[in-house]
Amino acid sequence: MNLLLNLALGVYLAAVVFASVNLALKRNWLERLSQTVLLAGVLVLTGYMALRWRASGRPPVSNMFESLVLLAWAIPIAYQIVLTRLKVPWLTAPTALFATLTLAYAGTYEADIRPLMPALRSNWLAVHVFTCFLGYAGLAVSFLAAIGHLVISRSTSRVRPESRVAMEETVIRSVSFGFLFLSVGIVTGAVWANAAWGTYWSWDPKETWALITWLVYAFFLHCRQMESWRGRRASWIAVLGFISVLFTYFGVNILMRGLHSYAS
Amino acid sequence: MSKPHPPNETDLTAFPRRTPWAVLTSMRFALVLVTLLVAACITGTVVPQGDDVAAYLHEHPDAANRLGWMQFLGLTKVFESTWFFGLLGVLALSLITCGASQIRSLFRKRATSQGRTLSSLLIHVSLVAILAGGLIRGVWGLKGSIQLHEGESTSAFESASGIVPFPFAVRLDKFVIETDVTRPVTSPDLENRSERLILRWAHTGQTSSLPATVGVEQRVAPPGMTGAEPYTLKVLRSIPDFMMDPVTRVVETRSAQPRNPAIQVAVIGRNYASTNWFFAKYPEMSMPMRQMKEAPFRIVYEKSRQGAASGPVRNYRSTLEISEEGRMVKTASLAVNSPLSYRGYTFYQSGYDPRDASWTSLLVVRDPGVPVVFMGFTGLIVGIFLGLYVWPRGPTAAPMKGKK
Repeated sequence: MNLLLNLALGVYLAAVVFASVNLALKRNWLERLSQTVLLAGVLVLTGYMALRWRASGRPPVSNMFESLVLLAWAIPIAYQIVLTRLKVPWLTAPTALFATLTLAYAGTYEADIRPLMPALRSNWLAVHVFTCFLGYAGLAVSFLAAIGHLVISRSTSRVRPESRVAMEETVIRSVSFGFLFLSVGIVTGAVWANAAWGTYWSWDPKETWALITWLVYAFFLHCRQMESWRGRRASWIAVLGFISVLFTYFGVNILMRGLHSYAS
Repeated sequence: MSKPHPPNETDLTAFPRRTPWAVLTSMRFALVLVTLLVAACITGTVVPQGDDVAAYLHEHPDAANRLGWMQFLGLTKVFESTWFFGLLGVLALSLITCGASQIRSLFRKRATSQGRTLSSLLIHVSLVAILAGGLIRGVWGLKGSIQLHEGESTSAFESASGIVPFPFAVRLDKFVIETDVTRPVTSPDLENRSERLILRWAHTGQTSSLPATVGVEQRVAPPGMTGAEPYTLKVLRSIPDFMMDPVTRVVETRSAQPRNPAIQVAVIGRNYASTNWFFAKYPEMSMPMRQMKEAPFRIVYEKSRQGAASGPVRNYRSTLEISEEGRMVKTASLAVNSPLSYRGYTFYQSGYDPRDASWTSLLVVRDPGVPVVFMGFTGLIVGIFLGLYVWPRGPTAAPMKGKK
């Protein structure tokens, strides 16, 4: 199993190399190659997750190691879905790098398969965690696109208008994708909490920070209707939103106690 | 002459001339409201809340003054405070007025615009439903717990506001702890390994732990007192089901089953000697057979259930019998993630005691707001999907500066 994990990491690294080289060379075939290699890495990770599922008898989504692997798997998928009929070739390199770093960071956590505690033995576990992390993956792509938009929009004379528009469109599409799945993740978590703990909402730190993240992106989506809040302002909100995602995912586990503490 | 600002633009001077309805339905007001909610939620997670305040003060006594001010401002109970409920109330009002405006405009717009308005209306109405469900829970909801041994029954539960009666009686027929490994503990070594003597020292509050091995002398020194003479402890007898003849005071075991496990412990120290019986199921009790002085520590006998399966707990399951007016009407099981509902009350498997596998605690909830909230959840997800993917808003990107 570990061999597959290491192979996935290697393939992701290869995608980073190809995409980084393409930043300089700007060739269509190199862009297609880097995206294909990235998707190959997703396939390898899928194999790893399937084997782990078979070995443990449950979906591999119950601790930090498994959730980080899931996130590293979901980021390229979200990227491909968001970029349908959009051309933003420069985004492949940072996306591949982000996915690679996530997978590498997963390796710092214990990978042992341990029995689940009673509260986690539910079909809702897979649904809730899977949708949340698809949401996080989409929002990660929006963060990278927003950073890129903020950088290039300071020099509009050197950048073609179509590129700037494509970048902003990527931010909006990825926020939409991430927001939809984050909403489903929060709702399924609430439904599961009602079945397990007798209450669909208890202002647990993890729940509250997920709500904060949801509100920040709701702010972003409302801003689209105001002309003065589009462009750079919206990208800054997308960046702020992803900081909230990071705090929800990591900060709460490290700094706060609550019902979700078994995720740490 | 400059172009007049559209009504929703960021223009502070526009506020005083607007009607309350216009303010409640304005985009700027919505953004301010969302910002305030975010700030309130962050405060509720960063500042110690409720019962955590005492624990925080214990660890950081220098924060007493700062926390005092926060308590005065209601920041240590954010999610139960009047100002937070007020904020949610304003949110609900804004959502309702937005929804009413959207219903009005539905009849005036083109088909594609109607779709976008409809999705937005669905989202807003769903959020109102979720808030309404929460209000219903706050006003009419009940929450409490019951603790039962196998064979025991109750017709009331304990809540924060006192004892609340059920319109029925509940009896715990059976309680089972399911583990991943089902090998029973049978060998004496394994039995002894699962038994401990916990000594709680009066002078420091610290504890010492010793194996409760019969016939073995063990020496233990008072912690935190250098040079103090140690005490000698020896477990003289171990009985699975303690029984004492009231006349002869001879101790025997009632059966081979571990129904009332007890051990006899002799303690000898300088100027001190005692022999006591200690009971695994009743840690507060001990039966002195011979004692000269007040003990310098308290002994607690810990024993896992003999014959119980070892291994990590998979689940724990209760079988309840429900009866009304003395007649049994239903028998059903509940487990973690699989609650049992009856006549508006829902029972949740809450806890167990590894030392007493016949005992369990159940959470009891009555929340008539749940169906309303779940409808709100459904509408919210459908509305978000429709608004983002079926009838998305456009244009999306900001116009270039200097270009029309």
